[in-house]
Amino acid sequence: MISALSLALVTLLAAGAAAWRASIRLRPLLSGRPSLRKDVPVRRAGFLLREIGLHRRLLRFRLSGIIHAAILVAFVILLSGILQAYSKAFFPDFRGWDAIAVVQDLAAILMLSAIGLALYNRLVLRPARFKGSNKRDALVILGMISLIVLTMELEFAFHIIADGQNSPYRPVAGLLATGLTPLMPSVSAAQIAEQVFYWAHIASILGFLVYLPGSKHFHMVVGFPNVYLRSREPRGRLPTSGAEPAPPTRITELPWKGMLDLYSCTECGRCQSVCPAYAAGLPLSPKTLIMDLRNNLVDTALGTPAAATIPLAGGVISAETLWACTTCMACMQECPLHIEHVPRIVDMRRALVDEGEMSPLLQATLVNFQKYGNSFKKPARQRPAWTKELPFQVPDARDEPVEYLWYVGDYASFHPLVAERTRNVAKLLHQAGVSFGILYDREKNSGNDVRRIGEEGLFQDLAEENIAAINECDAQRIFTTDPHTLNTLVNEYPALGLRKDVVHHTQLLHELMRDGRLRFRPTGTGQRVTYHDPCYLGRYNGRYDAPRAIIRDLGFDLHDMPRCREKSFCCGAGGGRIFMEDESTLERPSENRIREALALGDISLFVVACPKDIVMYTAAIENINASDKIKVKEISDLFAVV
Amino acid sequence: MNIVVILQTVPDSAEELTLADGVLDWDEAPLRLNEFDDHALEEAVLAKEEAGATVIALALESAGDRVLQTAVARGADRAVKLIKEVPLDASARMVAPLMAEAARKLGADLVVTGVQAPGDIFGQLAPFTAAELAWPLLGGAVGIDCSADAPIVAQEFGGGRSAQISVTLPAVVGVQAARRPPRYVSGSKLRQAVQSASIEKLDVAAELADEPGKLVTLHSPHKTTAISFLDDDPVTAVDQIVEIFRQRGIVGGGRG
Repeated sequence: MISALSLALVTLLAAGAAAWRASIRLRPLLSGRPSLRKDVPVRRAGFLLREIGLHRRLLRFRLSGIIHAAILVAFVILLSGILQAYSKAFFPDFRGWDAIAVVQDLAAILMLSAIGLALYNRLVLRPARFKGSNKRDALVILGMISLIVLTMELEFAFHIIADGQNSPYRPVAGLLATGLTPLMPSVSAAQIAEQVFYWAHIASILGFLVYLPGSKHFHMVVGFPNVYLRSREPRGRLPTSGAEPAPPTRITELPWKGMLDLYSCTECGRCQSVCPAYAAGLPLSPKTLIMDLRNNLVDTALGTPAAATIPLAGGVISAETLWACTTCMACMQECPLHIEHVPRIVDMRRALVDEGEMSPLLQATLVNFQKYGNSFKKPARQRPAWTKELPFQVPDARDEPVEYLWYVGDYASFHPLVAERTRNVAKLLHQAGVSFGILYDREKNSGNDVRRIGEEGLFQDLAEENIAAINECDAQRIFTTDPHTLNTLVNEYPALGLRKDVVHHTQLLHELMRDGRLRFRPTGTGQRVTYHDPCYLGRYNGRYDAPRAIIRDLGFDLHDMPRCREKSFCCGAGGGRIFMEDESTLERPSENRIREALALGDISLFVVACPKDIVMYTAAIENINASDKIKVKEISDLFAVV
Repeated sequence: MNIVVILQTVPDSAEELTLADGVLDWDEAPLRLNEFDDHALEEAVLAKEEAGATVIALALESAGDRVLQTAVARGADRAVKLIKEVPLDASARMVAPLMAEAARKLGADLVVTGVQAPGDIFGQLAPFTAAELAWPLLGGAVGIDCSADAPIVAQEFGGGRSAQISVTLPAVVGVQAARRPPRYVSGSKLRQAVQSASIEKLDVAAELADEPGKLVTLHSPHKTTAISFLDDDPVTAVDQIVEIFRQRGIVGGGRG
């Protein structure tokens, strides 16, 4: 006889313990900075359902995605088994639902198979992305789920033995019963065994419930709100902090959604597997960064002495780790729980910058930005020096109306390797009869990388001065060759007063080709080339197609690398990394990328669409002695072939 | 302890400088904070952090507010603008009486400033100010340790020798280099300082001193010795080294 009272009692005790454990951990969220996202609830709910239902991000890692999908489906079905177990206690005449019994039985097999695969994945295949994850926790959870399912099946099996007749609706339990019947001396023994496994089933369920809040599998609870409350802002728009308080310096100062992020992490390591800094041997793994923050949050929530006083930047997370990030956004692109690593890292960088904690090289670069408006320490008057070798005068957009204002950017203006390409673009536009002008000495660095370094105040200064200069111009659109500049002009300047359409030069050139304004002949003659999607053009702003269309229209045979489009691998220059010492201990991201291109076989040109990529990949090719095999070309260089 | 840091602006050699009648056109020259004064300010702020001093940044009106606002963002407690008509190219000797009077008015116990300024050929504000104040002077400081009762100034000399000198206040110190690089002032702190820092104005009765001298000509240093580059080819380089040794009498000549 199942004691309803006992069951109610232990359930209440377990639920209370679980709620208590969860509430302790979640309590800091109550005092976190506000971050409620109340907009478009229906869309958010729809997105959540699609993410869960289609497993879009999870299935990018095929085996793990299938395992997760199987466990989720089986888990949902087996919830009915739990309901059934409780119904039995409270309604003695309840006999279960035959219609669902067969599904439950099959779900049990599905669950156990998935767990078997998960163990195989974790213990035999051991993907590198699991490095640093808590294996013990994962194994405990897999063991607990197995226990829940096995005890359920055994309870059903002994019920069949005690009942004396097999059920066509429980094929798995029936098979088990057939195997176990010889071991049962009597019906009453079978009844006792049924009771034992019933309570073992209940105990494993309740044990799981109590264990859950302290486990990474807490994501089963907090993952739903976390995905629902994901940022819907454009990727390229860092949270504005101009009007916000100082960056969080302690874990309790995080926005509460940021804390929810930490509890949502499943330690799956997808972020780690795509992180260029991690691949280069730099001391950053987005996964362990989130885990370290979560551990500090848990310690703080549990009242561990001094945990709440440890500074986030330079304490919980080392400065070297924070400076290693290229802000390429690959981690956020892959995270199935939509955890926001990059804004968290930039926030901590802001604290470091406020304290002046940075390398001498980076400090000198920031001083250059402050004094000269560029990283090259060049006087403003030298900004248009690249135009001197052009056979025509580039108009000053402040003095005469132009169709396009060209926001040139630092590297395109000052770096000798890039300035040549800048002139190429100017010649192409001149040839197409495009009216364009530049800001001359009024242009300053757009501040995209400055902001991602964590120098928020300097970004605001640069942006305000640039916008004031842009607003003096009578131009219909803005274009730039620099994806970093494009990103902040498109996503961040509007909040500060810029009201202009901004395009990348690849889009502009493609439009001009399409409209017949830019005459060209397809001289690629089928030459095999590959194209690298710059992070700030592709993953940040979804602009993948114009460069590819140009390459194909020019007659080149384009072969994408395995990591292309939104999976593109960062060159290693973003987030201000180009202004820091290179401390890679393994393979530099740019060299890794060139090797990826070479592995395609018979690729002679590595086509890029970002000034920093020209510099990074030219150096990478020299470093790995591949100059005789592959060459870097900016898209505009392909026209030069004509 | 009140520490007055004198900050001067100098022409920015990284910018394009223009000449008028063969000399620098100061009106057109982009100016920046004198690098040595930057170090002096850092030392003053370090002293404040060590001993709780009050740091007062002092600059001529012509230096502009930004210099003083930056000083506040760096940790100065007060920013004082000296109101006086002073030519941009006024030498250290000329402005020393103004700075001395300002230091007295501000109740300075210690005056620190850069050991020199590249825009000023005489470039020695610290000794001239010390002379005006009749206070002791320590130049070429590479650190002012204020953690003890009396400040201890570090000086470095040739041959790796150094001195730690206990200073009786009041005094003037010319700083050559701070113990750590001048700290970075983030844009956020600077913006905050721009919005909130109040810049005090200080009138002084003192007049500019007479120009102590006039620059007539400048010469590059006379070449006395020169380095020799060896050939890239190691065999030729060895011959060259042997020849040098022979010429210097290090090895005997002729017998090889």
